[in-house]
Amino acid sequence: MKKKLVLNINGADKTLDVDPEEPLLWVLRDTLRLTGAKFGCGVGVCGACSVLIDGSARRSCIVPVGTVAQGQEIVTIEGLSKGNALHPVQKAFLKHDAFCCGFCTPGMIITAVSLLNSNPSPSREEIIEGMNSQICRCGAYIHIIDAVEKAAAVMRNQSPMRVS
Amino acid sequence: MTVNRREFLASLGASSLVYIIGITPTAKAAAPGVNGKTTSGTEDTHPAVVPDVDYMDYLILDGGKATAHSNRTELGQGLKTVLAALVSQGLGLPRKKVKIILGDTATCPDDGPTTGSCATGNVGWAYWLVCTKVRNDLQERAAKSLNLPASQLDYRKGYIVNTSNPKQRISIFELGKGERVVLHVDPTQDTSDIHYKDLKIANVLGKQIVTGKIKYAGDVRLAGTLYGGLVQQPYHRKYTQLVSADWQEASQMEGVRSISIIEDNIAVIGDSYRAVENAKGAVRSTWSKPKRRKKLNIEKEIVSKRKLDSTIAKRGDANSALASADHVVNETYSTQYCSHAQLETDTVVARYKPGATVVYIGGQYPYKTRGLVAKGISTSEKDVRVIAKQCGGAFGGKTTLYAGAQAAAMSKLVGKPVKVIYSRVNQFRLRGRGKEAVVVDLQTGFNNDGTIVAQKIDSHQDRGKGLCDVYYIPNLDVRLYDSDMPILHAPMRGTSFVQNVFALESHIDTLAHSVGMDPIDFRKRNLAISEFSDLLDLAADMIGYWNYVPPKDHGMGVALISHGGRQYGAMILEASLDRSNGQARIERVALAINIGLVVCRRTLEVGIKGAITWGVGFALHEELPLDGHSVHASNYLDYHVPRFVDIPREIKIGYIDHEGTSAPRGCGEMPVIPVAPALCNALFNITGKRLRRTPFTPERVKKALGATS
Repeated sequence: MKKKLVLNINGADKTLDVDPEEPLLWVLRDTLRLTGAKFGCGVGVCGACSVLIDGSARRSCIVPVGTVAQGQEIVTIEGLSKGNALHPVQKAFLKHDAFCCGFCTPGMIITAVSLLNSNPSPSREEIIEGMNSQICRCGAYIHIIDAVEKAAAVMRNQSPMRVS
Repeated sequence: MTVNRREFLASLGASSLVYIIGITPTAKAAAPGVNGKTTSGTEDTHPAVVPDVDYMDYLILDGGKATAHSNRTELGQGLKTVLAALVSQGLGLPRKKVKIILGDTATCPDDGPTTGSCATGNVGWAYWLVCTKVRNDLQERAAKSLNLPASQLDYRKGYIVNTSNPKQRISIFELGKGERVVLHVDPTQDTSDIHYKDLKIANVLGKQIVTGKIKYAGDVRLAGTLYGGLVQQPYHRKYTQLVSADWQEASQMEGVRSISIIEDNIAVIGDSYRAVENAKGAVRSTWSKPKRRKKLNIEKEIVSKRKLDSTIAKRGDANSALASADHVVNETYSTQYCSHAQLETDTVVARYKPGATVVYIGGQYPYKTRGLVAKGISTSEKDVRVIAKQCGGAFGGKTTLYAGAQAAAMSKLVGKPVKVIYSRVNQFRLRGRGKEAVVVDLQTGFNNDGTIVAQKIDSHQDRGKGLCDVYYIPNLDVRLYDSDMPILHAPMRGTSFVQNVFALESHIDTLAHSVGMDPIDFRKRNLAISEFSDLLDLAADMIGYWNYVPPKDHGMGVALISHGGRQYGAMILEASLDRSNGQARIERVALAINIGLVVCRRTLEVGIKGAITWGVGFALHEELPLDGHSVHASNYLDYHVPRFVDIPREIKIGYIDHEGTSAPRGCGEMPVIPVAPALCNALFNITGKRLRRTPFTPERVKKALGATS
């Protein structure tokens, strides 16, 4: 049954008429036309669908849209950059060639942002552990670790910022 | 929107100069190809080094831009970046004036499938060669137009310039307007006098990728699109038929538009992915039970069902030489079935329209998909346009894309565009194909000084690649056997090189140890190609092989690879073993390669490290769970692909002969291949035990450690 819901997505409130059981992933992709988050497995084990909810990475393929409370802030890959200004994690992914096909990249970047939100100075081991929930089938892992390490250093040197 | 190439060429205005790149008949005839044998269970073959076509690509000069078209697709290998780099340098144009169009049957001739590490090597090289010819052609046109001898003109950054009066020049975009010119290249013979320089450019798609803006097939949005899905059958499609189906309840569910039988599948069409998946779960169906017994002993069955396919190498008299050799070693190696497990499941959007059906895919071969679609909707191929979007991983598994025909048939049925996204279960089971398990028997005779004198190899269910390219063995007998096995297989990154080279390079190590020689010295003594000596030295130097003092339960292993005689590599890696749980891991890798011209080192190196990650998966983790008639994996919990924690901490890459004017020869698959044997050899150095079956799971390692011999 459809229901009216208000979701805060990439900084703006959106009023939607959706089935609360519908996974957030498909609401983003089909209703809101935000196709950056990808369908990879549908059961929350690959991480391709990751989005930030109040600053923490969540698997949108297993989050029923009705469970996201009004006022919670959802940020997708599309909301990470401000105009033409890329987020430091996005910049670091570019600089370190941290992708091949790019299908996992939005989920990777979102998860890296979440990791750095909770641990601004991760060791290499902590990056590996913190990112281990994400699959990159092309195998760009070493480049991704380098990129997250670099982004952490850049973000530490900038004025405090937190993307939620 | 044009549907076929005839319409496309007609639509180009009089302002354009079109170069049609042809392959000379001699090049076609002489092309050695990397085609291996095709075994009974496989659906796809590998392309030749020179594609088997007469005309391959278009290079179009129009409106101040050079546009290069190729039917090959972007799969994450960086083809767009490679072509942009080659064409911009080849024509001396800034990159913003060069546009690359890939994978569209309406605008790109059929230049073969995007497989086998060949796209850079043959499409890229053909473009590089043709750029020289295009420059010459343009210079002649300018000579006529300026009424000057061609010798007085020079090609400079998109202009033809009068060398004695540099102010007199003509833009290349002002020449030959409206003309269509065929230029033939011979990629096996032609050379280029332009010195290519790798400008270390980043992936041209990078910004679109990190912002999530790049479009994959699933991101294509056409007005009124419905979702389509297929009910998963319980057994492999080779062994079952639909007996009965009841979808009365399912068809009443919210958001369901249509349920029907399309070919052998129950197809559900609905308003959303979720509506389709829910309805799929409510369809009740019965399928014929396969007669085949359920238990499957892969190794036994592959060998017991063998039929001799061919003898791929025969030299001297192997039997006599074995009888007189100082030592003879017999070994059998075997491997597992693997799955491509691409992160993007097979995804297609199709809009059926009589005479003008359009299909968006993520895949490796738009023309093959076009054929499947045309057949699926009973129409002519020229009435179908297939457009490849960015592909979220293919690895050999998206050449035969049945989802294309399925989506088109569904679209025809409901009269609306239909998007088919295979569920993860479908991706593992419905396609039911991946890398084939093989069994390789090796028997080698060699003398006390480490010289190999004879070798006999029987390779089962296999295409015989990588078995006889690296070593010179005077008496050789290599046979391929085919086996009719229960699951279909498809080329998968590294094809049968991965399995065969695991067997051969591990076996070589056994031979070296049995005469007490260092594995590098033993290999050097028996090389057929001297390049490997330099590559071994480089790899040994990069990882510190000769001064290595192994920490406890650590060791190094070596392996060599020749990929179709075009790409050469020497890998040395350091592995460690936790004896308490049997967990092996690869700590550091050094890979020395000779792959010809390196076009874009940045996209190349992330690809090489990815390929090594694939080698880690094959060697340590990946094995498709299956029985006699079904695949059992349903998601990544049942099929372990490498994750962050599994990969080596450090990968070093060294190059030999990678600059200048030589041809690029590709490197997509090659680094996958030596990982398993190098790891096998490192584990032998740590434990004194030889693991002869991949993957080296903790259970297999513990079993080997417990074994007495």
